[in-house]
Amino acid sequence: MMMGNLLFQAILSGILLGMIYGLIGAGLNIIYGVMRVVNFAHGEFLMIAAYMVYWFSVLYRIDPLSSLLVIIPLFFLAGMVIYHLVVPRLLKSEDPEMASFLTFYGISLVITALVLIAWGADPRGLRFPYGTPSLRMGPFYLSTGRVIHFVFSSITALALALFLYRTHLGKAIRAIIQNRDAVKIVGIDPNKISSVAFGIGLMLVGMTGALIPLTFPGITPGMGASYTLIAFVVIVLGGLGNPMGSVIGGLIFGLTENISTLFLPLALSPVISFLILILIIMVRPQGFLAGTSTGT
Amino acid sequence: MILTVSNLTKRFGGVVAVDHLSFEVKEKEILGIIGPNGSGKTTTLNCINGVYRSDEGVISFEKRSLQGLLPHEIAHLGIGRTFQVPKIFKKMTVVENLLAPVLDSRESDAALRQKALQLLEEVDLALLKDNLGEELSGGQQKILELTRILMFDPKMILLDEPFAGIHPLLRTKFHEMILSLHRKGTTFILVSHDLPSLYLLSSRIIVLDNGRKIAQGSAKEIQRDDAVIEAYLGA
Repeated sequence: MMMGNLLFQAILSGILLGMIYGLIGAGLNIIYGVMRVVNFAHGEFLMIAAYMVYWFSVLYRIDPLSSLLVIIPLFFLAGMVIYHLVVPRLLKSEDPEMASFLTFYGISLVITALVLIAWGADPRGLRFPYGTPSLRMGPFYLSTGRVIHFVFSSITALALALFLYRTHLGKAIRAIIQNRDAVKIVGIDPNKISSVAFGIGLMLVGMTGALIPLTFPGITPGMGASYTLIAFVVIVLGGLGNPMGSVIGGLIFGLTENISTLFLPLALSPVISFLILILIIMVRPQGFLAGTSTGT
Repeated sequence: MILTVSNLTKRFGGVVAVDHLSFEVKEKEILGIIGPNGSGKTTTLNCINGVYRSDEGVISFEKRSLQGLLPHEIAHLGIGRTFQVPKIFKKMTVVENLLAPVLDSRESDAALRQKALQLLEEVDLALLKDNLGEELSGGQQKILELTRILMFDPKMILLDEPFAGIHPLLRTKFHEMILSLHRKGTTFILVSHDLPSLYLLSSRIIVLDNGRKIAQGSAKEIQRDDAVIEAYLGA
């Protein structure tokens, strides 16, 4: 009975966190799918959003959800600016994927160093601003912050799906993910679509980063790398170039990570996740949802 | 003249794929281009629609130079293009394939969808409108690729090997599509190894060999041309 409760608790936590991971992966996947650009600084952008929310809270007493009103447009615009400054040059190289990987890895190091210089290495955290920090559901306890983040992530994932499948711009993004050459000959400017896609990718990770202080307690300059790694695992699980597959990938990752803690020491839970990643790459390298109708 | 190609040259390293090629296309004409493999047919199309930048020469469409324009800008001028291996959106439905390129259209969503469904009806793909592109046969994919171009009402269409590897019935369907569009005023450049189809459809044919034009004329004329027989038909 005790084990059953623990398992159910782990599944609930896994689903809550998995949706958040899925959204982080979706942002990275849109950028990769449209441009074949490997944004290795994805986690660092998340970290910047988390710090912004921290400072909004400390300096102006603005709560994380209200901060989104600034974070969302700011990260979208930042994504478009970064695209125009960096990406077209990368796409002209002989190996854009490797060039982008190295460039954005460099950008990630620069961001981390600048944040470290500006705000130091000490972890920072927010006082929970929305009442009680945990919710009781019968014998189970859930973090209120994670529930808020989950609800917000779920709404965002739904909005993303509607955007990709119901709007002309979304369809153009899906089209360019599938065949970059074909969109050019039917009159779509791939540069315009790519800049919007980069903006959306950064907006998604900014939104997630803004709510991370509700989900995990510590904000540090070095936190970005682990989220970048999670994003990569998630997009491989869900299918490279398949933004909505990332949500499934995130849920698989979240569940695996949480359930494995029941049977293994906490420190080993990432090992299980990465073992699954290796297994997927060996058995189904295109990801779970590649080749299905939901694929892009 | 709707299209003028003057002195077009395209090199890949030391290989001259197109060598000082000049020709013109009249409005509402179906111009056929034939030639052995590697004679520069597809490269010529790629230079016209901006996939490749030419090394020398001038290409003008409706008296406007295409120099420096990108493929999507050339598409906006009214030049559509299909490929030997169709470049459709395989994970999108058939109707989505037609609606994906209409990002900048000023028509309403309802009008665009109606237009897409009407076009699918005309090419007998209406029943497959909700199927994924990858579920169509190779021939159907080629028809879908051509139909997708029609969403932006092109003045001129470049067809690259449209009849390669498709069922004879679909080939006939393709012929009908081309002739129907031609009757409505669309100009075509048709590159094909399917000589019977090309002879049937083209009002004029040019023959390329090693990137150079070696003959031009009607189907009858080029069939009698010694240079053509030696370079291509006699091969």
